[in-house]
Amino acid sequence: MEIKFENVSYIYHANSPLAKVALNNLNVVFEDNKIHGLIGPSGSGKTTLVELINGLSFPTEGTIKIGNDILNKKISKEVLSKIRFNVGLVFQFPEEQFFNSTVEDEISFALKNYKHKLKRIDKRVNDALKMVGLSSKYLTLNPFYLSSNEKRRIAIASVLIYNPKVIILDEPTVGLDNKGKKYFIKLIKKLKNDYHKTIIVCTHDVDMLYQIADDVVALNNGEIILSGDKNEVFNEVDLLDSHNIEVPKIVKFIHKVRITKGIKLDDSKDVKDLIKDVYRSV
Amino acid sequence: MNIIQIKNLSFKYKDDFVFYRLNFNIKKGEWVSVVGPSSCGKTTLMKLLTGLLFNDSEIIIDNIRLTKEKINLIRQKIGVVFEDVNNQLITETVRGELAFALENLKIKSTQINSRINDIAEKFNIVHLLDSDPHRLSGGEKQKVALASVLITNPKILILDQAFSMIDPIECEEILEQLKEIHQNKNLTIINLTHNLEETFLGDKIVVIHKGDILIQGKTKEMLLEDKVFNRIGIEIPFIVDFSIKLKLYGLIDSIILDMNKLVNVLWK
Repeated sequence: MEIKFENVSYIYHANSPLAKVALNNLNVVFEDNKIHGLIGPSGSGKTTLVELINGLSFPTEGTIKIGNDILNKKISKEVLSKIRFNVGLVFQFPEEQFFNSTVEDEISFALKNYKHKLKRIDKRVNDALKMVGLSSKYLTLNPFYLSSNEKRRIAIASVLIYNPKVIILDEPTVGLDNKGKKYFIKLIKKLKNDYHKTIIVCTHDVDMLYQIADDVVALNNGEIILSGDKNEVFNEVDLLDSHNIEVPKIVKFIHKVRITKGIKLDDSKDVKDLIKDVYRSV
Repeated sequence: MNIIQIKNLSFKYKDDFVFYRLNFNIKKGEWVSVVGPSSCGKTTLMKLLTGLLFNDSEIIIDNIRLTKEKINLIRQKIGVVFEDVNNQLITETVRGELAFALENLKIKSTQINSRINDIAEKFNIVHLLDSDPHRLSGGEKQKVALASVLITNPKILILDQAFSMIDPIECEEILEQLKEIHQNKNLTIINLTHNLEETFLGDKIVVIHKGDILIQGKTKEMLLEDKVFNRIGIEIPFIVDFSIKLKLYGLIDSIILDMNKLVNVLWK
């Protein structure tokens, strides 16, 4: 499902002395069945942008097209409900989306809300749990008492269960160790390749993004600095740097060698390839 | 001189031991990175050191045995930044957040204002002073929490995954600031993390796994233990992984954590 921003602005406390522009006149398309990365420094507007797509806030100006539906401040309750069913958002802080005392109730909440038959819900709860790599022994545990790694997986499962067409993940690898991160990367790729989801990953972890994203949007001070194919975006090292936006370390190294030594190394994706190239050129 | 001594620390939740007869000491003014995978007990250790969890094991902080009676005295010496920063922010403005502990310590308002301005400048949060901390981004919240702890000049700073949401460029700047405070004020830092990049400026790494210390030693020596980190699920940062492999190929003599320096050594 495609998402299109047309002249979208968002102002916190609009028309008050405390007014603060969070997003300024954004025009961008998140194409269907792709993994999109959303990057930018702290406070650049990333979380505000993804909350708009989920209908948690409405644009102060402009329109967001989600599939055939239009999201703006005049949206009807029916359309909003449809959009929220199509767009699943996993919050930056998983605790902010938990409000049940067992994992089972937490994961099944959305489906119960949409009045699915109970027998079917049980199966889907187990399937969702399995997809995030957790066993059914978690069902009776309190989600608030789990480790941050487990909390994040439960938060993802509680979105996967209702099979949204768009999945937004806000800082999904925070609190995950390497094992958790590798599992997450595999899951995201599977959601795109096997289930044809549109995925938006909002993150500071550009090294992870470099492995999984198709396209990247770079934000700063509520404006789009760059957007498009990840390689083209990340190769703009100096521009991103001037906006305090990190690029993948491997890209940074190759850029540094070119700028300071005048040597052009290949655009390697991993350390093994880079070593071979360095070995040849030193 | 040891500022923290942990002797035979055992702790369990229900029937599962998190730590079993754990022993280690931290010297005054040392920056120790406690590294371990998810659920290895990092947050439990933080809670035991700050008296948020208690048991009978012997923990001595700045020559005082940690007991329920002495906990308030010990807490005056320790500043903690929690992983879940939302639980730590309690006032309506960032300025109020920074002033809160100082007001409780009955410090004069003129002095409070000057300390707020100093720390806000240091951590680049001057523009946020009148904002509601709960409406800030994750990274901004973590910066405010860190500043509100350091403003009280604690002897010991405990960080529990405190930089997880701060963007990498800013994180590097904050770590540099911390290094300065650590050196100038002889601040003892315990950074509980699974991100090895946060350990580069520290003195020592202690790796915790399955309730015990797996290995410990000087930071640069420990970073060479890539096989150990891989085995327990800790991500090896690009610059460390790259350096270790370059060393294996005989292209450099020892690991280099600074990218500029590495480029200059490779292409002299």
